[in-house]
Amino acid sequence: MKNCFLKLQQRMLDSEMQILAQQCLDPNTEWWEATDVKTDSYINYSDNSISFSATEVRPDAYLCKTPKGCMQPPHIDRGRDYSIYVPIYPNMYDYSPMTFYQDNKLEIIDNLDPGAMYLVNHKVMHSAFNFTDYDRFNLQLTITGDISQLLAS
Amino acid sequence: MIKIWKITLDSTKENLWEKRISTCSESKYNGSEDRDLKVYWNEEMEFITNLILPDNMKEFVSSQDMNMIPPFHEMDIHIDGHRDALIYLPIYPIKEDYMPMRYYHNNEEILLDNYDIGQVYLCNTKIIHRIHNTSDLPRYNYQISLKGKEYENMLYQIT
Repeated sequence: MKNCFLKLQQRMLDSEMQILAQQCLDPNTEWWEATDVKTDSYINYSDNSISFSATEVRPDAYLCKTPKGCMQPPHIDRGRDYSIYVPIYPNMYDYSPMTFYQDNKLEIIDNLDPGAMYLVNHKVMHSAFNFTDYDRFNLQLTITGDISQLLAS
Repeated sequence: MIKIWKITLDSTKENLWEKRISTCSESKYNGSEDRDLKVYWNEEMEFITNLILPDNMKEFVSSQDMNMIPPFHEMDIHIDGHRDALIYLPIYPIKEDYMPMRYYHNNEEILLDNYDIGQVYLCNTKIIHRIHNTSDLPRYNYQISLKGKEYENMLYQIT
């Protein structure tokens, strides 16, 4: 495992991915904005925004939306250590990758393999810049407690 | 006395600036963010080099430039391939309007800004870094590129 993420053997079914994508793109889906957003001491006109929605697939998972033209600048999560992360929409080269900054290198999770699941270490500095023409969606399931069992499986 | 004109960095004629696209490799992912960098130098700027370049660094100088990133443009995350280190003087704008150079090192973000006006820096350009000029002002700094020794050796020599 890289320190920042591990691609899991388990995968989402195509039918599950379709349900998630439909829910993401449904105009009736309600999204709420993150409140704990980092600010710094510079003039900054960029939009640091992410919003969330509960899923219909699992009660403990959240859909995350980064609107087009928005970003989450490099940061370390304060409220969690790990999550299961599934890129949803768009796919292939239109999905702005999640980028990790580790050992003076960039490591990325993209959506070139739709349905793939990743165990993500949110204590490694990471970012997402969505400068595409599409809103960007993924599924995040926060892991609490010991992850050794998950790694062993 | 009468005011006749005011010289600003914007006064430099547009056609004198050499346009350089971001030196980092093009991303394979689709995106529309503007990536741009412009550099300019003439002999009248030599006095800046004379002011800020330590004598024992002269042998490593490979180039010197006034460097400009237009409003709402960025230099994407990269490591410099053409130089080992850099003598760096942030110029304009100042304080919170100067968007910092952002380094990512040891799981931390390290910012080089222009709150300490006039401060000259020795920078390690082999650490990944990015600049995103999210202000509505052009962003200027003076750069003297150094090549031939690693940053750590130059640091030892300069201190």
